[in-house]
Amino acid sequence: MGNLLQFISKNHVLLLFILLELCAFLMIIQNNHFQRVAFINSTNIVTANTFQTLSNLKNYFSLKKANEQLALENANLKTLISHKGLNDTIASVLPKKYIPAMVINNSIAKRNNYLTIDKGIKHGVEKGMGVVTPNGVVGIIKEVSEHFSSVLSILHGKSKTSVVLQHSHYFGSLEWKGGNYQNAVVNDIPSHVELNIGDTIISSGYSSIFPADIPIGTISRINTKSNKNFHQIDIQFLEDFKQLKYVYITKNILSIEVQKLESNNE
Amino acid sequence: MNNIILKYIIRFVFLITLQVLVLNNILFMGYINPYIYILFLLLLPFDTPRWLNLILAFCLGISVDAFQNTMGLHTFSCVLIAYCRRHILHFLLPQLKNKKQSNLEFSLQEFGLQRALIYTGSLVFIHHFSLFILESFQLELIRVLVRTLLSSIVSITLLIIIQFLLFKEAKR
Repeated sequence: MGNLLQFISKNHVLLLFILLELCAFLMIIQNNHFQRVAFINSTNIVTANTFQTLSNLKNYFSLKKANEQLALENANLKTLISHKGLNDTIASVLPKKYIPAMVINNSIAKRNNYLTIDKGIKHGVEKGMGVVTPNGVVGIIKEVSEHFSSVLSILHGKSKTSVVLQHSHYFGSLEWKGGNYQNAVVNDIPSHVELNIGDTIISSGYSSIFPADIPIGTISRINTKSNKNFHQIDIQFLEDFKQLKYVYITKNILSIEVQKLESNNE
Repeated sequence: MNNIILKYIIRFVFLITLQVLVLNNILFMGYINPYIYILFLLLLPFDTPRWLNLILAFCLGISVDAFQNTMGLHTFSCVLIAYCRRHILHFLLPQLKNKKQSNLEFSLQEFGLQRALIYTGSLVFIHHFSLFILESFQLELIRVLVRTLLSSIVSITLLIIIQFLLFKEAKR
């Protein structure tokens, strides 16, 4: 207390000065319309900008979460669409379930490539499910653990995917022969089918692993020998597998039924 | 003593009347509005207690404000120059720091034109600048500076002339 009094008596002029100036300033703000409006406006600008910056910052940190939510919602919508049977082929009418996932490990340079995604048994992932993006087929779930799954990439020597030509619906099978991760080969399309460079190839949905009508790639080269019954086509993938980040795991809810039915034939 | 207080009261009233009734109606070129009432503050005796300086400045400012409907603007500037005055005086007249001279006030004749110009000029500039910047209340520095400079020149000229006349009278 003594110190405080000493401080006040020592600096009484400065304190008086500050007090009087504060009074004057308050009077200015209180009694002059223009200054009051300007003052209130400027404080509003300051506060508004502060809040805006803060929320921008917050948004930035929640981007990841927002992305995940969007992916989830997307998956739900896709499920809804496939339930409603908006697509006209039988295979795509089969109800499907989509699970969004994020790629956490990826390879494209080896002969046999695998991916790891961040969804596992806990999220309902099972062995044999398909993994797709809106721009292509990624692969098939090979191993599942509690929280992760390993995906046999379409860029793998053993993977064969059933595809169809978008305009004529002749089907063939897609294989990756190694080398450039952007190109693959489609076999088994009869040689009488007319092809053009740039035609789109889509998934067939026959395997009941992948949904139908996902665009996969475009024809980049046709090298057919005249004495062969089938075309040999080089295609270029639409999806850039090197930059894969978000994928969907698809589950055909009725695939067991289909498989059972098909196995009865044999 | 009473005589001196009376003298300052009369000066106070006279300067405010002059300012409010005459000079506030003058607006050269739409820009220049000379403020000479601060002469009261300039001519306070050197040994006035500092707190009294500030209080007097507050009263002076608030009186001018009351007439102009600009509550606070002139008060702010007056208190500011009252606070700065001592520092400027000590800068110009270092001998003041030591000596206790009672009732000595600033005079043109005693301290010379050069010192009077610096003393008056710096205080007028501080006063006008703070006043105009508070009046515009935005960051339009160039406009405020131009206004300050032009008004300051007129105010300083008027103040020097008044001081000149005042002390000439006093000497006689």
